[in-house]
Amino acid sequence: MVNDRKLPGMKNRFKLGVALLAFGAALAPAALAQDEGPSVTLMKYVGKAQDAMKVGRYQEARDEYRKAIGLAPKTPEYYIGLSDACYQMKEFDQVAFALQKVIELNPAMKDECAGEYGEALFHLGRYDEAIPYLKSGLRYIDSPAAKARRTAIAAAPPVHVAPSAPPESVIRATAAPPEKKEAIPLSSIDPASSAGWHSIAHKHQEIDINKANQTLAGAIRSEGIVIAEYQGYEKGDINFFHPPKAKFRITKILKGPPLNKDLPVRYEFKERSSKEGAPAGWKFSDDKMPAKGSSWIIFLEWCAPRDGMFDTYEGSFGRLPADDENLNKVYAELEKHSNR
Amino acid sequence: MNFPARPLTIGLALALCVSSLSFGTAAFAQSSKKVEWHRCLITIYKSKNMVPQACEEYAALVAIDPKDAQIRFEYGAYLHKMGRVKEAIVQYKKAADTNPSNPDYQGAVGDALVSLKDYSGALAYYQKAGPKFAGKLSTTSAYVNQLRQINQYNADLKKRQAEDE
Repeated sequence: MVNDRKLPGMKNRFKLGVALLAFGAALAPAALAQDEGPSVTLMKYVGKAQDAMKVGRYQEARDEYRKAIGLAPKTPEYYIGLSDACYQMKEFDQVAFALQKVIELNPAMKDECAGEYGEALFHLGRYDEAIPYLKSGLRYIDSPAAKARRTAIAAAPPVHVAPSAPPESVIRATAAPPEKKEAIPLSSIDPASSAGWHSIAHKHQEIDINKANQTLAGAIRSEGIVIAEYQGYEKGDINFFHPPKAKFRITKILKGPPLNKDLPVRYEFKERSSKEGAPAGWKFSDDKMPAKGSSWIIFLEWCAPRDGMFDTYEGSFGRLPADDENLNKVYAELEKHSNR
Repeated sequence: MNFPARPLTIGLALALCVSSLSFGTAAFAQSSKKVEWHRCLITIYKSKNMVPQACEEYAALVAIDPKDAQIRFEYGAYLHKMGRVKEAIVQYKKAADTNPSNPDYQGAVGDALVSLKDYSGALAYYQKAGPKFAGKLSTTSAYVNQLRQINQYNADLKKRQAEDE
């Protein structure tokens, strides 16, 4: 019968991982200037997770690590943090999942994670699978490599995740458009001219209001913002000005009311404010639509459909690929708005 | 600029203590993990009736902390169950020596000795075990007395027969 003892988790290994990340950030500013380093939002999640772990709020820590993994799904250290938090709550299926991901992402960590992984398998009743991992873990823990690692962890300074300024690309993307304050020219300043005072006309300045709103800051004001997977489109009479009904499946709602997971979207091919017509030789085909299963950030101008379809903010502008960079920008902008 | 020596020495001593504590904590964590993993393997091997492997894991557990009386007691109990009584007695005795106040350890030695028919030896341990094993003490004591009487009777009988001859 295994005694139900409380064991310390893998905090030290995670501490080393984040310490290395912090060291990298501190000592390689030139390199980071090119790839801008971990985002503010990501480090916020990691910091919150660490703080929660310190005071024993493991459920919160688990949730924050999951958010961090959502933004950086290929970082093994966050999976280690997740497994640590889930271990404390005896969620061994999650521990096993997280450690399996660590081993997948970084096979060099297999020996290091073997013992904990074996323990998780044991608790899940997977005895035959557990034996080799437990034995491997016991061999590793006494090895010189493990001892050297423990020394390095003990010598690492405490990690302090301080909020830093957002990267420049985020600042640029979220900046409001500059106001143009040009003097309105008069047709004539000579009161004796035939034009006369009363005929002083000023050149009407064409201000494209819609175009001025084509920024992320404007898109964030949409009634709904979701992350959704593209499923397909309804065939029919489709042309450049008669867009198809694209079917999306919502995976996450970032803002707005709880919509039905099935989201039919008017898949416009141009930005609404654009006065250009269809490009020469444009013809609709399947390659004009996104890949099935691809993930998109969709800004819904109004959370009410029109003719059975939801309109995106500024047409095609209101659809962004849900890659890390775009997600970071959107999260940063949402956070900015929530802090007002 | 002169720095006072005493605060510096105290500061250095504190830093050394903190660093040794952190290393000590890491060593304890490592040891705890090893114990937990060995226990997992013991449970697995017991469920599969893999006796030599289970004994191997128990031996490894004992090696991690030879002064852990509970591990020795559990190991002894497993050996006893598997019929390896003499080896069990060794483990029980070590557990009892490490923690003499625990009646279970003393009583376990007594039980093992009874199974080897060493009743006098068992009595001594039942006495050390205290009230918890009072029942077994009185039963064994009565049995020992009876055995003595039987042996005495048999000895007297042989003597008379020898005299008669």
